[in-house]
Amino acid sequence: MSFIPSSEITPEALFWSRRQFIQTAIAGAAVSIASCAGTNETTNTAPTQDAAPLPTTPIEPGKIARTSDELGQPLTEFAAVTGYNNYYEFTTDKQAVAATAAGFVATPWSVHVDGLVAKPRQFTLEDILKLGNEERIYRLRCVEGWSMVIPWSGFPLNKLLSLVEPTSAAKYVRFETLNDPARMPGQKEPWYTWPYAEGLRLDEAMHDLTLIATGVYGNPLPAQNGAPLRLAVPWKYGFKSIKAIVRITLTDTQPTSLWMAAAPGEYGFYANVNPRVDHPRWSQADERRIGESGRRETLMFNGYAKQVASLYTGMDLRKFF
Amino acid sequence: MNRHYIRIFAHVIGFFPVLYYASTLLRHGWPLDPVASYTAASGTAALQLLVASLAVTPLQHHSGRTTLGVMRRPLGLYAFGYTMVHLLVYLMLDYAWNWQQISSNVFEKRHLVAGLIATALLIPLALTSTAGWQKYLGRWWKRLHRIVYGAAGLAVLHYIWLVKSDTRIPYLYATIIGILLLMRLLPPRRVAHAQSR
Repeated sequence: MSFIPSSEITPEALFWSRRQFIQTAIAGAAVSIASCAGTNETTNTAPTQDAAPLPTTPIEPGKIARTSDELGQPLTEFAAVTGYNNYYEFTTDKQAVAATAAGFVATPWSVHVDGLVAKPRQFTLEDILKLGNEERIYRLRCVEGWSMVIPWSGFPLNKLLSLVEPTSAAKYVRFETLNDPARMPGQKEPWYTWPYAEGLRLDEAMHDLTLIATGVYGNPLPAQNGAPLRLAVPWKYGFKSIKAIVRITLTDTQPTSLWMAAAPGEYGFYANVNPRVDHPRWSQADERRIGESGRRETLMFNGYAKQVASLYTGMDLRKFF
Repeated sequence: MNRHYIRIFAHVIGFFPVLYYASTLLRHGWPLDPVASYTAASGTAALQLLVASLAVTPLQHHSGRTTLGVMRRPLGLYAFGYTMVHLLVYLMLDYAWNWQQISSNVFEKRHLVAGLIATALLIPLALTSTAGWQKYLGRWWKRLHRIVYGAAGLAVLHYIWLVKSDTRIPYLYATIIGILLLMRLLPPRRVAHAQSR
């Protein structure tokens, strides 16, 4: 396994921080023009006092406590984490998501939590931010065969779910992304069935590793990473970690995700990272860590087998892919 | 048109993907996943040049401009060149010559099998592209070089099978190649008729 020496990486990072400074400046100007003209419509919720847009892409990482994961693998460069994003709501060009999403106004925001719960509730972003802000360094393995190590901040989803008290009939949790083609231009693309939806089994959702991320790299979540809140389920392929969540519904039937609907034979409900179960068309045995050359072996459950394997005891993971 | 200028035009087309890639770098900055970027760019370039080389003969036949034929060899060789870059990026940068990982992938995944066969088919065509070989093989040269349609078909199949979901662009290439093949099968316009214009 050969690493790119840091001497080679630095100029690129510098280059990117310059670029992002310019982009941020342009985006900032665009946002201020938009708000002057009164065009920052927010269809999501009634405006609150705190209607200021979230800061656009930060040009520098904020304060983070650690620089590697529990396996000693170093964090992926800040520029890649905030500049290389799989987010079809904006564009399918990963490196153009940040620029396309730069003007996205994420506040005010609210999340409806409903379905089979004793206390359905609408959370404002302020309510959500109060639920915690702990740093979690997670590996992210994309189903396409690349991976990153990302310092998220947020709180376990179970904290939020316990507030609404799921009933005994609740078996699954369904998540839904904002549906607003005016703010998310990629949603004008008719190829996919919008809005993006994802699901977890209730025990997966209640697992302590399942995180609601509201920040990354010591900053509030920028638009391209799923502002203002997203899921981070580190033992599943990245597409399970749904972004810009507006609705969380407890159900008794298995939800159908956007990818399951797009290609039922290729993307399953579980989507656990598993080097032994290939995607029907490509191998999942190895992965390219962004910033490295060559490929790493993919780990069972993305290296979280100790924590999560017991969730799937007795299940045929080939059948429940 | 002068043959010389037509030949230069072929090289302009051949270099176009490089210029286009350079402009992408200027617009979007250095790729954050360089391997994925080089792979996609070289693969697209190879397919586009293959399509361009396939367009020469139908264009020649249906326009009656026989001099256009001088573009065929350079365009075909550019297609081969980009294919080699594509293969090299895969072996050297993506898999860092890890033969264990490569072999467990290449022979199992249908898109890689298709890509590999398409590449293999292009090798004899590139090797026999010289005037000497053309003369030596005589009428067999033409027959041999019809393999290019097989290579193009497999290259498109390789593309269709590797995309995550949206197959519209690979099918567009498939359609273009199909039309070009149909044009080859249709009787060519008579040269005498073309000259009478």
